[in-house]
Amino acid sequence: MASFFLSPKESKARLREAENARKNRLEIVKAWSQGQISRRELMKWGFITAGGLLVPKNGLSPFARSAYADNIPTGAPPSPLFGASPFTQAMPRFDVLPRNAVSTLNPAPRERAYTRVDYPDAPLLPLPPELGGGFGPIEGRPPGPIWAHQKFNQFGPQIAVEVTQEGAKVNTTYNPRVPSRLNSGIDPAQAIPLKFHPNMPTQNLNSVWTFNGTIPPKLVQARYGEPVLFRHHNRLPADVTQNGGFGRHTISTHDHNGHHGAENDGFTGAFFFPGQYYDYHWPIVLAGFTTINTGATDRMAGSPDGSGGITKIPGDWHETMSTHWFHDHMFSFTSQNVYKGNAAMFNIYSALDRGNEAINDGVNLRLPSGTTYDWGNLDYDVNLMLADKAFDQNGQLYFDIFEFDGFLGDVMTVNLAYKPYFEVERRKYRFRILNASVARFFKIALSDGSPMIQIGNDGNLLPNPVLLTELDEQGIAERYDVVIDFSRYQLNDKVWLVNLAEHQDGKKTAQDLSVREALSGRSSDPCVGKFLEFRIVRNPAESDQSQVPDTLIPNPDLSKIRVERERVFEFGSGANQTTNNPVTSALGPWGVKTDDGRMLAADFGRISAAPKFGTREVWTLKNGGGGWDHPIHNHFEECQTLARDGKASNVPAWERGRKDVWRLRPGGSVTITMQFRDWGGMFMEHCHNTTHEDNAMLLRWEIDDNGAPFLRPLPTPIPTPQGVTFLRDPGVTDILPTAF
Amino acid sequence: MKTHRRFTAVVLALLVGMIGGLLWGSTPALAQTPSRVIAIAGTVNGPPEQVPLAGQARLTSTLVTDPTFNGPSSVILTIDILTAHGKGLLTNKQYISSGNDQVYRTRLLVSLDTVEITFPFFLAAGPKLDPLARAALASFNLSFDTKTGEIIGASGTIGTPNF
Repeated sequence: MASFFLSPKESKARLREAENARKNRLEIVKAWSQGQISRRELMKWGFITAGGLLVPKNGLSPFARSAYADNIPTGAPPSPLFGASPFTQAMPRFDVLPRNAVSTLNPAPRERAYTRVDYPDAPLLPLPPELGGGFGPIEGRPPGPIWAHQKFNQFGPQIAVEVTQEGAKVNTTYNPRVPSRLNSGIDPAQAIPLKFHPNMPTQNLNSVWTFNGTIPPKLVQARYGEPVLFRHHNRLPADVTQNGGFGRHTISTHDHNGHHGAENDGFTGAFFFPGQYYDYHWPIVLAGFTTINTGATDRMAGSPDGSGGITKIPGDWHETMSTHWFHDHMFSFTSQNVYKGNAAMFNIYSALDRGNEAINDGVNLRLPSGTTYDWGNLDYDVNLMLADKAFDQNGQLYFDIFEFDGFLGDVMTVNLAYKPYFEVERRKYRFRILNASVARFFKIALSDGSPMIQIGNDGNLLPNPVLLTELDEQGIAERYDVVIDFSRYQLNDKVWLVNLAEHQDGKKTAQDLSVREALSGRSSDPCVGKFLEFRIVRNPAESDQSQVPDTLIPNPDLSKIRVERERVFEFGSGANQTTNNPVTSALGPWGVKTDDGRMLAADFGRISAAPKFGTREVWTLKNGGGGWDHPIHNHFEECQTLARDGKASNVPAWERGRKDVWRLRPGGSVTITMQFRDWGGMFMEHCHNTTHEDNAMLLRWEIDDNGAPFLRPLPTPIPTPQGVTFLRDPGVTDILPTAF
Repeated sequence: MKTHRRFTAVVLALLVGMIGGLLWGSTPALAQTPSRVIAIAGTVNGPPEQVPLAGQARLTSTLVTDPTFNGPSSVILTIDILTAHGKGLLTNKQYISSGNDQVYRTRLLVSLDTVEITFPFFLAAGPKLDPLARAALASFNLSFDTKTGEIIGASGTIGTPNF
């Protein structure tokens, strides 16, 4: 099968041809990402077809016929590895971010954005010429009451997490929060340069933009009932052209899938500029806290109290979540920025999922974790961030935005390390697996076909664990929590995680291989096969006290809640654009059709749906074609999957819990239900193939509560370095007829 | 500016010979075909004992076509191990599968395909959710109607995963 990436064994002439085409695309990518040209200009000049495809021109498109081999795509040149061999570097655990006192934040966080609109004495930020000069606010959050932190006094921040977004630098403060023996012998005191493998070159300052500018990827640990103030400083270059060829220096950080007000959701149009910060208030509450268990009397709804007990909190314990991640959501630039390093994980601990396997209080599920701390033990609870990357001939991170189908890398990484190994003990481990790719689906199995137990899907513990020998395809942004028991192996054994999903392009999985096929080395997809080696190195020093109970977290009972509305969203191609605001509107080719209306390209000033506050709705998400798959993400609150392709019986066991991302499958559909409660504001639904998202497969919905306390419709923010303004009355560019 | 000059050169070089675009439509293209239930049997080797297993598998094929890109057709195969059970040759103890093992596989549609999966099995007297459950290999030889994606012939065996 022809693949997007050429084999290193191809002829020199063909590799040269592919490299020239790649360089040509890179020039256009650079000009586009730096704002020198627009999508409209590219269309006008004929680079992009009316359907949105890069013209199939030899020397430009990787899918044009090769001059050296008819009917075979030109392909992309393979990434150089500089002699790096698989499984020769240790996989680093995530770097746990410090949890500081809120009093350490200077200036102190405020309910409304700290700008002169609301605080006349707020300091001003002098702006360099690249940002238009003059002065701007120090906080990039939109000002005024609508973007004020909702329930800020009720859920006052108790913990501060302060991070930067910046260019690549050496990590001298790595904190894996486990002993070195549980981190494959990595010495955290050693400085960590930003390399994907010791043999590979150090990344240039602007090749990679990560949290704090360093690797390993970052992890936030927090508890229910412990509101977090996440202060995110934008320290990216003020000069938009200083981006290493891709990436945009404006960012908006989405806690995927936090249940909180829209001002903290990383709305795609609420981005902020270099030099500014944005205070995100993550209250970490159980959904339903305004109507269910409001007196906090239910022991199941709780949080670790730090000394073996439970602090009871309001809300529905059936809505307890466990594994989030957070990432950029910048309008039209999400794929570039996330790929460039704006991705981290967020473990949330509760009375049920405590992160301590020894506490036996009748509530704690005692999942594999450890016993050292009261909560949040990471000894046997491991975050895995999977992502495919590509590199140019100098070994610098490479991205190609002209893959409108979805960008694929040819180098598998785990926790931003090229095909690493990880030392394990002969006992049970929990792995929180995140697909952080741009467009690649994974399908994971153990190399010997042994069973795993899937306990969570999209950060939610399932009603019942599922014993599996291979996981379902895992779409972009989906999180699968699994338990693997390594006590079945002998000391010095090795076993590998294997990817079975073979891609030919970014549209969808071309096919799923068997373990034998994937291990054969015959796939043309470089990311098929083994990607993480487990080395069974010792028996556990202490007995394994962890369990996997038959019942985890049953679904909330929605049967008595009336369905207020049903809506249908079809995700497809050939989208039209009916608006032309240069900030809020994008051009396709991808788009969303709402309630059988027109297929529309994204405009974050357009309201496509406005469910009423306090209601429940049923939404059907349809894939408009068989040539692609779409992992669709709905923000705000977890949903339940009612049907696949119209039938409840088509919902597999591992999708019968709560979810926030659904692979629609080619030509398929998914029916979901969700509630709109507790918070208000503007949220999103979009494809999490971020190439599709950036190329207009995104819509805005907002919670309508008939005018109070929010405006109807909510005015759309228009960020500038000098301050955020809002679209003038009526505050939006468009409202679809079926929205309200 | 160097970047802009290079970019302009690329624009000029590539504008010549550009062709018009494709207009995409949205064509739902999914068709589930009738399921087939077949018998499967074979022996799983390895410690602690050999276990001959026999049971049934349900095979369901859903055709996926791609008229938009004129891409190759594929099928989404759903394989359900409905039952599998047998007695260990050493202990005579009963082993079973869970009865709800399900695997999805996207496969390119070809007239003949061999698909392998593994599925867990464990002692019937033990816990149903045994993290140390053993794995059996199920191999299926499938023939398809390449127009409809329907499975028109199928056979299956059980064996030992040995990759």
